[in-house]
Amino acid sequence: MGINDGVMSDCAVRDPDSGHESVRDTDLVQVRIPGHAAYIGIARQAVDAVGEQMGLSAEDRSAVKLAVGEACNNAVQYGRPGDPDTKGADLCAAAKSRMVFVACRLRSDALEIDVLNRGNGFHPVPGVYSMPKPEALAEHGRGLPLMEIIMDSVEYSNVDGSTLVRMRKQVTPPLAEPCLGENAVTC
Amino acid sequence: MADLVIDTRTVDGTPVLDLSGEVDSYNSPKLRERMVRLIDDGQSRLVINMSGVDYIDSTGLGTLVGGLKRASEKGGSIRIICPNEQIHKVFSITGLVKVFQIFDNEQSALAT
Repeated sequence: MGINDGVMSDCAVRDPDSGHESVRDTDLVQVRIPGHAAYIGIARQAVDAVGEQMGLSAEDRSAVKLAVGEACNNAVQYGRPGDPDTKGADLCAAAKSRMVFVACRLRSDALEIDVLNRGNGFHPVPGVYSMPKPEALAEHGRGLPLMEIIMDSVEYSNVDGSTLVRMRKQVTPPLAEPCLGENAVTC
Repeated sequence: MADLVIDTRTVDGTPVLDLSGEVDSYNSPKLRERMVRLIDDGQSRLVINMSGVDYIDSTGLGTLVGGLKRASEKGGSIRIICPNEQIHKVFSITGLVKVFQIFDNEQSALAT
């Protein structure tokens, strides 16, 4: 399995009535960022834009942004051991040494997000795993538990020497169109 | 790259840090540095105004906890102003609403 699984060659479908193109199940949006904390915001914004286009609620979009941010934090922090220190000022070196891939798969009932980093990562237990919760005054260790609470599912796996975190956020059924006009009787 | 802007002012002797932007793994060191400088200068009762914050992650939360521990060691405290529902929810989920004093507005935070 790879990060490109699920890519469709012709994602857009043209609505015969409106003429507009619309997305369909399993459309994929991908972002690749350098493995440095400075770029994680770009991945968050990209995924948030996808969530907005899907019509996710403000609450769900906040959850997705946070989960993606946390997964990227881990990918950057625990990326391939032995790489140059990415906390330094040399962003170019960091960019060359590690990359983080984020893929949003638009399904009819959910937004599915993969975050993949090269290297061994943080060695999560494959499958669905519940991380221990940190002590109240701990300064670290809240990222993965947060992800698991705010997303509908989080799975961890190792793919060809890389670490993959796959998360899902269910799409709440859209609300019915509001009734407009004083003569409207039924909706 | 989203930034974090920190403006510091003093209200009735209490330092108030007005944050705007994102408190994430990239920007948190800036917040840590500002809190440490104030606390080590003897101003250990801080108010952190998060009215302008639209994103905080676990690194940002950890930074605030670190600041609280440092302030507590000096007999101080950290009070947080957080009117944003989504940001408040992150404090709730992580149980940090029991660790920090969190207020809806500045008046309440400074009155405590």
